[in-house]
Amino acid sequence: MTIEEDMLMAYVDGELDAAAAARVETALANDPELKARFDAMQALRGTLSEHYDPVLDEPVPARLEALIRPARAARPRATAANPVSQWLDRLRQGWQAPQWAAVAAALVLGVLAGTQLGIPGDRSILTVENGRLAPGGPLAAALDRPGPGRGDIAVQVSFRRADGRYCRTFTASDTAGIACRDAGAWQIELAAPAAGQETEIRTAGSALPPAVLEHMDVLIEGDALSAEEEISAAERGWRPE
Amino acid sequence: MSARTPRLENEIIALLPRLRRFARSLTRDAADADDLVQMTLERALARLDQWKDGTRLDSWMYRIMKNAWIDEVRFRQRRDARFAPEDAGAHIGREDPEFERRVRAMSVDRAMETLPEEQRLAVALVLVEGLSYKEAAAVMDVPIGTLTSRLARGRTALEAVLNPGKETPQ
Repeated sequence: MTIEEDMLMAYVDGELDAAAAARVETALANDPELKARFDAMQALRGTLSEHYDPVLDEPVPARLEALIRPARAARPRATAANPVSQWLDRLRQGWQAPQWAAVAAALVLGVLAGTQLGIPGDRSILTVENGRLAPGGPLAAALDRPGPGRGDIAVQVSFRRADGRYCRTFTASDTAGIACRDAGAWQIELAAPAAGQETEIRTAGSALPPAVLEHMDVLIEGDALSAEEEISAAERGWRPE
Repeated sequence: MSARTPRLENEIIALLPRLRRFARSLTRDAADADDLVQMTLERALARLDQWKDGTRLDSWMYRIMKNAWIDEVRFRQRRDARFAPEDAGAHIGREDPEFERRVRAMSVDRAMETLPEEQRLAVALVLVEGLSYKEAAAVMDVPIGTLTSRLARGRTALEAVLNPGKETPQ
């Protein structure tokens, strides 16, 4: 039987049911001319993908993302717009590249213990103090320090919430979350499983799962802290101004 | 009927890479493409209440972009009809090797440019964006048969431009 051009095209585009696809495949095996047409159609699909798919990996211009969230851009709690990429960019400008390289390396190594709750003072990521979830020793120390963290612990974004208290997002091993300063100590505002760990600095921020980003969106007042603001906040012991 | 929520905003932002790719396959260059994406976003945001929660946001946005692009094309045709005499010849005399190299590199763009809009849309939606015939026909507001015939003609024309030596049997 002969296979019409339309049917071949539908086959190439994955539009045929199994029975019809099988007929085309039989014909392809026996008809070199049809096979040549098929190859040409496949090649065209390949050429187009090769040409246009790289657009998917290009960074999206900030002006386009900003369009989606103009309301918040206009209000004080503005830069919840496109938080991660912009803020990480900003932080990266303020911090030395080798520090970020260290963070990336740490993300790859991922050595720390898991998320199990520990007793205060040990090396667990999360602990319970006075009945509230708090960062374990190493995470608390990382949160105290300005900058992007160290070792297995990454600190991405620092910001103020409406009542003036400071919060920071973090990833530590397989846990991500937001810690806020309360009465002279860090409290865990939110903890969630970290997204897949990435091997590049550029994507380190994407390890923050949507739940963390959305909650940050809710909490944040004004802009994320710049590197200088982080340093001065740390010098004041992260006390509200 | 949909309200503008952070979730919806996130979904639109997640679509931006695909919208940019679609725009790139419709327009001639990257700057035009992003202008088209911007126009699409503005229109989509202005009529967010027309998007029904639970339906496909990507198809809805593709469709807005299709309409925005067709409006843009019509605008350009009117403008070009007025200014064509002055513009003609602007590119004559550009036969240096670098120019030739860039032209070859842009051959897919060029080939796409030779297609009538309706064929280019069909090719872009099915072959670049990977929509099913049914989805693509819905975006274009045409019956499936119309979509497939535009797609077939678009393919044949593209092959003819990209592989000028080869026969493309009908």
